[in-house]
Amino acid sequence: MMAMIEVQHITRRYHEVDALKGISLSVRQGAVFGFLGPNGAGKTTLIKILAGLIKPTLGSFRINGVTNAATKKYVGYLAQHPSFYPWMTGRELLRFSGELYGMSSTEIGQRILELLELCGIQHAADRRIGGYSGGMVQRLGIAQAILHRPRVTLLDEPVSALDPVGRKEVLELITRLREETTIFMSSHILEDVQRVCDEVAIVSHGSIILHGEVKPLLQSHARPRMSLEFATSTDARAFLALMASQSVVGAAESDFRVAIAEDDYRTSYPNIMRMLAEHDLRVVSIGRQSATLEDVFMHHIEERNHA
Amino acid sequence: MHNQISILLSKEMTEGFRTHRFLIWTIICGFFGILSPLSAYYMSDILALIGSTQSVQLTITAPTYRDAVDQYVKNFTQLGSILVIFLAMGSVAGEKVDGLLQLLVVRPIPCRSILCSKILAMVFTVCSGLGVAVILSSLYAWYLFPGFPVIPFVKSNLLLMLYLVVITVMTISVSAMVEKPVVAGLCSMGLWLLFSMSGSLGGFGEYSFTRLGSEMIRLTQGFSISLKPIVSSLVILIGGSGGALISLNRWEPSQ
Repeated sequence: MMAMIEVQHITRRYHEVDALKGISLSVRQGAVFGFLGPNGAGKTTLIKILAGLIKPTLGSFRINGVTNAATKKYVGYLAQHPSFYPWMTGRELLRFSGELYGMSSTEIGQRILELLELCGIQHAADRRIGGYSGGMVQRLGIAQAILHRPRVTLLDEPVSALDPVGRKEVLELITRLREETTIFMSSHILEDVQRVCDEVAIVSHGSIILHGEVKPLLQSHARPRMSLEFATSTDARAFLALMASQSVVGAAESDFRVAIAEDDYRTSYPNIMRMLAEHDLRVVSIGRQSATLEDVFMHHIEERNHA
Repeated sequence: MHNQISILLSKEMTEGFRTHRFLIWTIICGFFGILSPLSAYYMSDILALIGSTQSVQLTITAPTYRDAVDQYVKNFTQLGSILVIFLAMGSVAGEKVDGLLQLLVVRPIPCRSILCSKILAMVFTVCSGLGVAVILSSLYAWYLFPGFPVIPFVKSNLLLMLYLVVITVMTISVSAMVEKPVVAGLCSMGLWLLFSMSGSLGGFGEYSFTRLGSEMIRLTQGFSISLKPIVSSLVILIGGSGGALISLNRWEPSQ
């Protein structure tokens, strides 16, 4: 499948500091691409470059096969903290946006109705944006970003400012959008990215440290673990100490929970059971936790920081 | 591009109406228009009243339409200028701060369309307010001062219009070059004061656009005018717009 976004060796320098260091990546058409990284990693910088808001110091990019300024008509963009004219109504903003993209009045009218429904803001369409809640502004932001049916939609932290209900709704909306546009979204909420993205890239200190499809990444990089929940925190601490004496690596997940890599758990299973019985450590539950993107992320970020 | 300018201009005009920018300026212009002939006409009475209460003997000449025109020019070239700076200082810088400018820049619109629409909308606002002032002032002055030269006064207002347009464009240009409306306001105010001070000097000062006020008075009174301030105004309009465009093309939202 053709690459909808191609980024080649992009570097962006701010006052002697490289926010991006020769980043290259490609995103296939129709993908939901997650661009992950800790705060200050360079996520917003790359999204702003792709949106045409800032220029790369070095390197180039192509969207839908065209370069630099010509890409603007193929791109829809939602900023991390979107702000719109507070004196406009939601419907007026969408109409204004459509007109600037050269859409016909009929087409704009139809598309507005479609998007107001899709984004769940039809009840507020004729209210001034100044009175919208954060979630409504975010949904309106998505609507204005995809109004002109862009080939690529750039979403910068689209759910970070929302409450759990708003987050869920916006993520569902993003999932529905994959049918009509390629989505490039940045986030530091890994659970959300795992839910909606097909492909991810992890960026740290301006460089991509991992890039690939989510499922293979989880299979190859993440290690499933067993989680033991104890009746008391004293039991949990005692178990951790015993494990250390047996050279089995465990990690405290909380005061009452201890996690062990699934492989270690299987190998040391008889020892673990014996320790629990001999020291009368009361286990409330034992559960297997699937590999998450957070494991992959943390592993690589820590590895990078050590390096 | 024409179509984009008209869309952006329509947005700017709607914003002007809904944020009451247009209304405020028009009311103030109307007030200046009425106040100038009235205050000139009744000033002698007011001063005579003050003199009688203070037991002071004042010799006051009878008011003429020249006093009304002087007052009118002073109101617009002093308070009016400050108000125009206040209204225009946030037109670009304010949108940078609010994140609204990137909403436009991210779309396939040339920066010159954005700048052009902002300038046109502000110029329209300033000129229509001035138009209201001209009508009201002419009516009152014509009624209060027999022999008031209505036609020369209306014509001479074109110079005042140019004066205010220069301040508008200068402020919008500065607003496009800086990141904060307050900075834009202070810089524009500084420039205006600089031009005003240089305008009071001879020689090079004759080119200051702030001389347009005194040229307006001369024109109303039937004298010929100097073209020097008009030339400098055009230079400022072209230079300011060009500088603003270069600055806007280079602008990037802060991190």
